[in-house]
Amino acid sequence: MSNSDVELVHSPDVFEGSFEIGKLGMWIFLAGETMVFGGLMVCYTLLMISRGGWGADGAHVAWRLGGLNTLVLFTSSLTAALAQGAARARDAAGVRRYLGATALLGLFFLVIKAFEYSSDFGEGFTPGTSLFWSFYYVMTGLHVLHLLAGVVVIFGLRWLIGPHTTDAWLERKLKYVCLYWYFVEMVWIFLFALVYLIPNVG
Amino acid sequence: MSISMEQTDSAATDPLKTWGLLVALLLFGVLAVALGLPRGLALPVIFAAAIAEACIIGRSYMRLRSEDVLIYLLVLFPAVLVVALAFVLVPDIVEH
Repeated sequence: MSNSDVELVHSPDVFEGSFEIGKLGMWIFLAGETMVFGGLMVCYTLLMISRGGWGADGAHVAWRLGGLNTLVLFTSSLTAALAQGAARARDAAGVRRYLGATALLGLFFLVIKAFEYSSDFGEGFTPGTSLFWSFYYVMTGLHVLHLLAGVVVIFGLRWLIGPHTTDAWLERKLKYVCLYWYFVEMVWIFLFALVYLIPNVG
Repeated sequence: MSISMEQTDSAATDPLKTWGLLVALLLFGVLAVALGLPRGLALPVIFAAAIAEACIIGRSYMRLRSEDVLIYLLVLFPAVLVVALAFVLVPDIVEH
């Protein structure tokens, strides 16, 4: 066990020797989020089955842009993982660089999504158009809000990194932020499959 | 689990390799639509790719493979509730 491990285990954020309260709190939060998104996806899927698909409504979704956004999120998770690697290597400059890249990729995702929304609205597909478009805007809109929150938190953490921050503190906070970011990415994977790809199949 | 064990686990994961796997799986799902595969073939491909991507993220990035039992329970509990929700909604939505 290295000195940094000893520092981490004896930190006030660590409960009874080895369990981190912050990590537990983040997982409880993610469990709640799973039920929010899971409930929406279950209702969407059951309605899709009961109607035998979404018909022409679903065929208008820009799945190519959705695919591009998935690639952007995958790349942002790569930079988040690289930031965690830099934190383990005690490279604060590397953490700042990779966190900045992660947040910028998150912003790029939001720009593509804004373009997609404006294009959908321009073609007359609003939340009131049909049941499919209601689900589309609620589910992707909720995801956009989560992603936006992630971008703000990542920029905030990047801003907090300075000479006063300890390696153990940075590594711990980065772990919580990245857990959230990976969860948001995981939600998008299922949204992409359900809302973008499946309505455009055969 | 101890923190040092978690660090060893995460160090063993190559983020670039994980990213490559995720992109390859994304291509599978996208190609199922782009090539116009029949529904019976495309749906399993899309679902399998999405589930595999989620498993890779959970295992490699979220380090679930080396987590405490309590964390597993926290992940499983909402998943079970979501599945239960699907079963109780079937009579109201699908069968009407």
